[in-house]
Amino acid sequence: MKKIRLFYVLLAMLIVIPMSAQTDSQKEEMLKTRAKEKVGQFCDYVSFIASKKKNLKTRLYYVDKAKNLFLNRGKALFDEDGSMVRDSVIMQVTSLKAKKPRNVYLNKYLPNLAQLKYPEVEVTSTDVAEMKVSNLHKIGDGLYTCTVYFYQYFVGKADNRVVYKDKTNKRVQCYIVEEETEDGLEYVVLLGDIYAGTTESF
Amino acid sequence: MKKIGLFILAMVLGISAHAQTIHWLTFIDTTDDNVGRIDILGRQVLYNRFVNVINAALAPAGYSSDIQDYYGTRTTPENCKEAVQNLKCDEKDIIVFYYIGHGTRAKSDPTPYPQMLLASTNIDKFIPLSWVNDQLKKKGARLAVTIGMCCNVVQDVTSKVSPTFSVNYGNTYVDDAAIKNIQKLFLENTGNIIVSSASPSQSSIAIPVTTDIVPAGKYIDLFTTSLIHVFDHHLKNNKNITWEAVLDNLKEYVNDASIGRQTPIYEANINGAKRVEGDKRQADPDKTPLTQNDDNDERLNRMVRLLDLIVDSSLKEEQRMVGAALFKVAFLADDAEVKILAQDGDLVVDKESGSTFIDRISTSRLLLKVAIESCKYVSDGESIKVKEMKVREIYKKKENK
Repeated sequence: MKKIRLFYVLLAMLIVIPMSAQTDSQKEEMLKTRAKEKVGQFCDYVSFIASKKKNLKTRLYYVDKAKNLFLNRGKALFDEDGSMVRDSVIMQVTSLKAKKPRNVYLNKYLPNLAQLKYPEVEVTSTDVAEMKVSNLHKIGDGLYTCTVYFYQYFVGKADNRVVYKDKTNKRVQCYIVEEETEDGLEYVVLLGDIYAGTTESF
Repeated sequence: MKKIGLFILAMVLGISAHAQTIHWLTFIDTTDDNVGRIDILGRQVLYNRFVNVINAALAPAGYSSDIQDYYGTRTTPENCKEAVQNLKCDEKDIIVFYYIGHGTRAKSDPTPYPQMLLASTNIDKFIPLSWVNDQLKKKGARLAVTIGMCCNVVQDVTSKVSPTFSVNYGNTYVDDAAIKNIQKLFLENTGNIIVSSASPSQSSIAIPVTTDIVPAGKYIDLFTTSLIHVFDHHLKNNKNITWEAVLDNLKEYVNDASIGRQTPIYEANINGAKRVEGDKRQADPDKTPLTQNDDNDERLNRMVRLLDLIVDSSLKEEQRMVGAALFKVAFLADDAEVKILAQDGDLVVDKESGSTFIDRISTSRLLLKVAIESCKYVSDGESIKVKEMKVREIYKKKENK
């Protein structure tokens, strides 16, 4: 976790250095793809957790597993001195009525998602292969970041009728931790804050 | 107590195990002074772009994989003969034999197909590709495919030509069209197919690979690269895919790329047949502890069979969760780590604890298949458990909204 804490300090300093020239472009593509896969997995969890067709106990089990994709498993984030910086990563939420993004901690967002007021909920997202991703940027020693962009489609139903629907573009800050091992360099990809952009009907 | 509880839970929930199998027998000569390095890369590409993709596409139809992967010092005529003769299969099973290495032929050979050296210099031990095909035909499987990537001439020197292709280092995504086409080839045909990478009197040639991942100067065999390329093209573009269309295209492709120096040959004795689905019968998954005495392929196959179940999103969530719990207890050391590799190459793009990995794949609806690349074990008394596992993940590609 030391490196993850370290990244936080570096991130606060807004140091963004382009990935070094010696970094292999194919390696970068692979890591970007992995970041998209992690985001895709999270979107799949969101879809499952929101679905009223699945029983609540199972959906809450999935809430627990979804957190594993995030920095510090979705738990509180600390700085280098061990002081807590935040309760967890942030998931911004919007709606057609409240388009200004509102910050919700992931450890609150996911359980809330499982208990939405609509009798039926369908949440779908851009397919992993179609997601866009930025280049990697070095933010510290062995620490990189990239941003994955996707669309999320939300449909709330009652009596088989659509009572609410929106489409929001979202972006996920992803962190890539480089580790030197006896077998060479290895990487760990973790998700960070998720920001909401424009919300519209579709 | 925990194990007994899980066993009972597994029985109550009726964990299903895939009943049908695609058997892979791959013999690859990776130790030869001349072509060993070429064949190491050939093996990687064959598995990452062909074997894993086909296994992933057949998994939703109820097929699990049995991989017997012979390379290094295990590639011998004796092991080949034994593996072919001892292979047992069900009538709904599929067999694919793939050889990469030196080959030759005698003037008196009755068939146009080569003899495989299988890393041996003893001419009395060379095994004719046609013998393998004949043996596999008798196994009673619904489809048997025998492919030999080797020279088909007395002089077995692998020559080199100018760059033609480079390997694509993306990740593995299999869309519905590809899944349907793979299932059509393997599940809607019965019979046998034999393929040689070269015609009689021809060598099988190697080509340079130029990517950032594979160091410049590495070579790969033209046939395997072309097979992957042509196969992928047909999976994506051919709405009426047939074995003949793929293999005719492959002949033409290799012939053009080698400027007429190498032309594959094949015989396809196949019949269109009613599609077969694997039975997802009720069965207790094999969770016998791994031991030092187990054959490594058998260990991996046992784990893959349970992973197939865990990944299968057509099962109930509870069944997958129980499969996950069984896997952790039966196979994973407490501090096990799983490293995820990209489709091609050996770059570790992600790492998780064994428990987190199993939890993720047992709750994912995006994965089609997890292929185990290698394992390191730790002794746990009489049994052994996985300390480190390297895997490749194959994902479903869906229609975008």
